Amino acid sequence: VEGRREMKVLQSLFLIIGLFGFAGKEVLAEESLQAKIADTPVGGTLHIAKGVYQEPIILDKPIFVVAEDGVLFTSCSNEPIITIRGQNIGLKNIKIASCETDEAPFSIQVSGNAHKLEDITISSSKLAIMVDNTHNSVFQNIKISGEKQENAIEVWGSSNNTFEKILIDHVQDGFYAEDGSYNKFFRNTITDSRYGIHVMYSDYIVLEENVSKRNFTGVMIMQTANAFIANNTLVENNQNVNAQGLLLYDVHQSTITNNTISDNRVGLFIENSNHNKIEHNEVRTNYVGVQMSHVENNMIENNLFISNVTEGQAKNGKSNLIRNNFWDAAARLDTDGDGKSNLSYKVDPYFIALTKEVPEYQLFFQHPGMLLLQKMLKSPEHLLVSDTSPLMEIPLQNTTNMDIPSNFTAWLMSITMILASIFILYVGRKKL
Amino acid sequence: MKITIKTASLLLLLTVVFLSGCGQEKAEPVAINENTDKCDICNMAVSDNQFATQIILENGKSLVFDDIGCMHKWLKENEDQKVAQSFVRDYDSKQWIEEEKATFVYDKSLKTPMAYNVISFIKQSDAKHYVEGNEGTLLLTPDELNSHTWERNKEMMKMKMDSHNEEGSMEMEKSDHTN
Repeated sequence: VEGRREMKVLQSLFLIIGLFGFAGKEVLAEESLQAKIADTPVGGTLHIAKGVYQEPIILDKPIFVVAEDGVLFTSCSNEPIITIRGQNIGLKNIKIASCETDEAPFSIQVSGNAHKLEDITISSSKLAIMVDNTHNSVFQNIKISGEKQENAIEVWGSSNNTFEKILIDHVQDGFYAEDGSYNKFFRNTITDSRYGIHVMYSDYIVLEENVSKRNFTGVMIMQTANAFIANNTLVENNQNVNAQGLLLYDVHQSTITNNTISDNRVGLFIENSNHNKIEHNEVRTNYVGVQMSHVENNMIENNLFISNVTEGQAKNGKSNLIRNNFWDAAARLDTDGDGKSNLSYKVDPYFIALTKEVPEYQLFFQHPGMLLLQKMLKSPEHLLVSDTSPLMEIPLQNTTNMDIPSNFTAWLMSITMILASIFILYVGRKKL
Repeated sequence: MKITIKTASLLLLLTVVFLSGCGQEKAEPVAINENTDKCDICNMAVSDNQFATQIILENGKSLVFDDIGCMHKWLKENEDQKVAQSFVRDYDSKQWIEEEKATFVYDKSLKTPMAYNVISFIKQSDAKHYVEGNEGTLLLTPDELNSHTWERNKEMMKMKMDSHNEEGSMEMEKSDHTN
């Protein structure tokens, strides 16, 4: 009897243990992402399994979170779906979409130091990524689509961050950066938005190889010093009456070089900016090539201004070194054969002054009557911004980009055509 | 006869008063058009929000600004221009109000478009309520606003950030970065 009793006790024990064990398994299966994050050791990796997640998560210790393909976070609450703070956190391969009940001000909130976010896709009408008080972090291969209501990425009080290969469309500002320094923007593309890259009160920023297309303004830099803006493509920013390729306002000691600025309403818009170096840029087929006011001590050299409806408008320029640019519209005369015109090219402030008062006068651009008035009402010499030695021809290294066939191809085509003609003539004559 | 002259004089007087009244048409604020309006100072697009301000010139032209600081910069740079009226907006209701009738608050923690950090209220009580609820803010009357320095908080922060960067990257390693 005792043996039976023992058996029963043992059976009960097994049952209880079994039940507990099973229950334990069930808890594990339903464990929240946040609990899994808590379980991941410092320096460890958390793999998120394929599925749809609605749970807002907070990453606040140095771990690497990588999602399987097919992971979708839907933002449906009033909190950011992902919050990153602390340091050395990695986040990879995440897709985020807004749902109807999304009331969070932004999808991802980042603060802290040395994070890396890569391969992320966000589709939301709200601000996609808020980068606040963040340093030494990398944001790479990110795709953001908006509904033209909010900015895509805002960067506040942050420094030494890199934003690379980010594709943004249909937002307010692609990037809005304020109060930071040493932030770098490489190879990003922003289209169909208000401003592509909008930087304020941020020094030592670097913008290289970005493309800003079909926006109100390609790149807008304000209250900034020591910026380096090179090899960017700012095109077709003409969607608004106030559109421009590159706007510099209150920008100092900066370098703007080798950028392609074409098919914008205004190509280069420079105001209240001093001691900048603007060189080797190609400003082509804009409505107004360059518009400058209150610019002092800038060096504007070796730029090309080609096929713009109006090459330039300028007023209140002082002590600028403007030389060796190619101005399509300039009357050129080279008597000493140095490749530079002896006639200086003056960028007249007449139109800018006129349209500032009555913007509707833009309708009369290039009207013969206006040109006559411009000649009659000459602006005082000291107010003119002028190129002292405009280039006679487009420099060779630039002509290669203009799809002009090489000499060899031209010769080959000519010879083929001549031979073909001779053959036709010869055969035709024989038949007769 | 005397009565007729008196009546005629009175009528004439009334006509003169009426006509002179017609000449002094009150300047009214115009609505902000977000698609086309840009700030006359900083060139940024003007959003139809509580920070927008505007000036109506005596010739009827309207100038819009994205920040009250930009408007005051314009007034300083264009003292020769004839201003009929300047308008600001109530921080809560976005209703336009003549600038001289508003009460202002300087709040350096606020994010205004050009970081001048001044907002305006129709009711003084609302401004006081805001100041009581937000530490480090300052109430300004229109007269006090005219002597306001318009220093931008961001410029100070930028200087701080610069010196911070020059100190080296060691500081950056701290996760609890404070600016």
